[in-house]
Amino acid sequence: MSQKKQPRKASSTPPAKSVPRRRWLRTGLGITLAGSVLLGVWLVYLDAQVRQAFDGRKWALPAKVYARPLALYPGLLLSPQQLESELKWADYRAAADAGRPGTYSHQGGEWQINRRAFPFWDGQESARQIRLSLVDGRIARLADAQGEQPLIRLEPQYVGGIFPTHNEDRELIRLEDVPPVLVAALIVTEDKSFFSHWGISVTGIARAMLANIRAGGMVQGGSTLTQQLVKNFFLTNERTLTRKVQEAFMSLLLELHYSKEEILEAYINEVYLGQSGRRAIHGFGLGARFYFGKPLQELSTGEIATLVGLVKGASFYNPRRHPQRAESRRDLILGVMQDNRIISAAERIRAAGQPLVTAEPRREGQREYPAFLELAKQQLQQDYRLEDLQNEGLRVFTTLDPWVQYSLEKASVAHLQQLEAGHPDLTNKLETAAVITSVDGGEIRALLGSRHVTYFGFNRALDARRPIGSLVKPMVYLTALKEGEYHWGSRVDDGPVTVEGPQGKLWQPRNYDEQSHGEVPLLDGLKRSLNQATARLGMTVGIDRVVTELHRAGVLSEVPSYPSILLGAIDLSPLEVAQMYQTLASTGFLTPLRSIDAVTTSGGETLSSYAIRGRQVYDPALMEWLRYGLEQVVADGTARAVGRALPQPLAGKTGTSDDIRDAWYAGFDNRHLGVIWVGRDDNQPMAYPGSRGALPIWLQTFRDIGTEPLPPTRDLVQIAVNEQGALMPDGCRAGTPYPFPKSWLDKERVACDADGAPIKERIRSWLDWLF
Amino acid sequence: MVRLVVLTALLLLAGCSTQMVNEADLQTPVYGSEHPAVISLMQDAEQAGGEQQWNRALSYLDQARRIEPRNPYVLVRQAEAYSQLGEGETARSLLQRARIYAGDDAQAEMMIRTVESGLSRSPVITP
Repeated sequence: MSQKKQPRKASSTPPAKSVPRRRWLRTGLGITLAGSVLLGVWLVYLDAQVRQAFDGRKWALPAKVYARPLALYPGLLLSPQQLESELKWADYRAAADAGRPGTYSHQGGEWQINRRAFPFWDGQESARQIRLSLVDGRIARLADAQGEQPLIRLEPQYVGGIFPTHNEDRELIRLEDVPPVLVAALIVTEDKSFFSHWGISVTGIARAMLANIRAGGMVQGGSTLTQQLVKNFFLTNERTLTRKVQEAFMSLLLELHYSKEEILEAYINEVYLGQSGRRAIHGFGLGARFYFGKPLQELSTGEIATLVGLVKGASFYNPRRHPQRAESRRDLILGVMQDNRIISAAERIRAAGQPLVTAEPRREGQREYPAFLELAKQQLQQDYRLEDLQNEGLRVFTTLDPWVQYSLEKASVAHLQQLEAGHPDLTNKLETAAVITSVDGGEIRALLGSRHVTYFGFNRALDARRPIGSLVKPMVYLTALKEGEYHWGSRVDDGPVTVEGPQGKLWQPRNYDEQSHGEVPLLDGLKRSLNQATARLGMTVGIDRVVTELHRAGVLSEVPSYPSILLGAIDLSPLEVAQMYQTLASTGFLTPLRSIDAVTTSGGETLSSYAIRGRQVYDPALMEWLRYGLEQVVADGTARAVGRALPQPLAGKTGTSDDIRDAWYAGFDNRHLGVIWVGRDDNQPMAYPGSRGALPIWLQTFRDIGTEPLPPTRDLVQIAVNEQGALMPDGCRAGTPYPFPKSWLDKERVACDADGAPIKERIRSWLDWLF
Repeated sequence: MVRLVVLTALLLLAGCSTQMVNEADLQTPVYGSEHPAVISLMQDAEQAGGEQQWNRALSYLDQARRIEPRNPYVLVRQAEAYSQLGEGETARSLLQRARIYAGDDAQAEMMIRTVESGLSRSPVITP
């Protein structure tokens, strides 16, 4: 069989050389065809990728969060320190003539502020030259170019963003708003043939290769601006041939579909220019703000050259970390700018002669407020999807008052250091949290989640739930006063208390001073924060009723109906405590604490605005009556340190939990309520009760922001009370006068005491004055 | 004796200051304030209300409220704005609040009653 096959095989087989060649040719053709198909498919895929990413919204734009704008108006209480601080925090600079937007000047009390144009929640406002006079800490006169004005808002401070997971931040800017000098400098530095190539530049690559061969390594890239954009926008930093080829194809496709101007605008907004903590700084708009504290349009020639120089290496040429290196790079770029006639020789010499000055990186205008931001984010998520907050470039106007926040942070940090100095074993162990709100509107003006004010982390103001100690006592006294049988002069026994629990467990609270004080007026129980008197009172009026009042005042957490809650064995966050005291401070109006004022789109369209809402849950007269007790705590009780330092009607309550693990203070004046907590994260005792641990923070903060005394009560009358707590008739000289709601005027009175004198004597003294 | 005369005169003046209010008074805006910023914001709110932009009106009024937190005329206008937005309960709460601060102010009381009586009817904020 094999012999037969051999000749046939020989006769049908072509010459030995041509068989592999044809096969090779066929295979080659096949591969080429398949390769072309694959390449085509790949290009279609790349094309789709390029167009999809470039046609719609190019970037996930984080929501920008702003503090409240400072509203200036005649009569406003405003210290020069606050005004100057707020201007600096909004990145305004002192300048002799305040001639450019973003600058200010002052001589004595006469201020000139050149406010930038700004898109407020209710619309864009153009730049304004503001003139104001400060006299005795108030605005006496306010005017702009049009004359006297009743109200002008300052640009609000940026307080943070709600970032997507990659934490990229940028300020989008249109090409027509970019200084032409910057565009020109960028092109001559990075890609001189930008307007003539098709996405890749053969001459550029050749030039770079030559330079690299000469240097014996990679010293120059041949990438065009388009390639750089493609790399940053679509690809990774991986340095492989495949990626380089992909970059080249995508650059060609990008140039095919989009104009040079569109590509340039995208580049200007995409380019990476540095890092600030978790935030990646992208684009020249944000770069200008970040490095120089001003909008792109306000940059000097030298600053423009510095920014352009950063493109080559944001970290290597960082003007803050490597000022000399950055300055050399700036001067080099200035030289290139002069060579290309973008600037004159005189301009180059002038710009190069100026020192490289950058804005303080940790300045208020660029720092974030983690605790407040977290709360704002939580509250925004009631109305907005997180995805939209992270991507749509929304503008969020909040209630944060930077001056109040600054004062609170300063006071907290300083006081914790002082406390730790007194107890070195506590060093770096104490923590704090605080909430400050406006009394009438429930707007959150300041929020502190930690002594490390700029770190994102555990937010104690929202999430640390700690026993509130004696901060609960006003609610026990409120329950008693509301009942109608008790008043501030009623007697209550401060003797030892023993309550048997369900399993026979005894609850025997003791006073802070370990003493019993016998029968005391109700008022003393509150102002001296007597545990035994308060526990007895609470047991008498009923624990359940106290719990009801806690919820009525705004406590949402579950409160168990145990005797120990009467002395504050209730775990609440500082924010919840603030909510409860807010109701007391606002004469019984329960208003949800709020951090958001308005939200607009990136284009300025108002999406939502928020205003006061709530409901009256207590009779204002009852609240005034309770407030009297809280005023006495400050005037003459456990918070008398406040009364001594600020001798005016103010209300407050100290709080300390068992074994001094938590120190609290809650207090209010006519404008603000402040709740302060100090303690340890490990919940160990820490030696300082509320009056020494938390109160001083409140006191220093309120000193700095200024206090307004509580107004006189409107609905209370004075009635004398005898030693037994019974009401006495008008005119008795004896007895102690206490305030009462007018409804008590009709209550039964006892006769004057033996030494009580008739009212006639007092009347005669009035008549004496008149005649 | 002079003091007695002065006191009597003051008392008489105080009596005379009690205003008689009628519906016609409500046709002209009453701001309950001489504060230029508050008046300016209330006028902005009037304009927004006139354009049926009640959320915007509410926000202007809220800014006025921050300057004068206990001005019943601001609160009653906010109640009116809430009423226009269909938030009757909130409107009622703010009217209650306005009444607390109105005290003996008959004109404020009249405005409160007007809004109360027709929570969803014609606005009190006159453009």
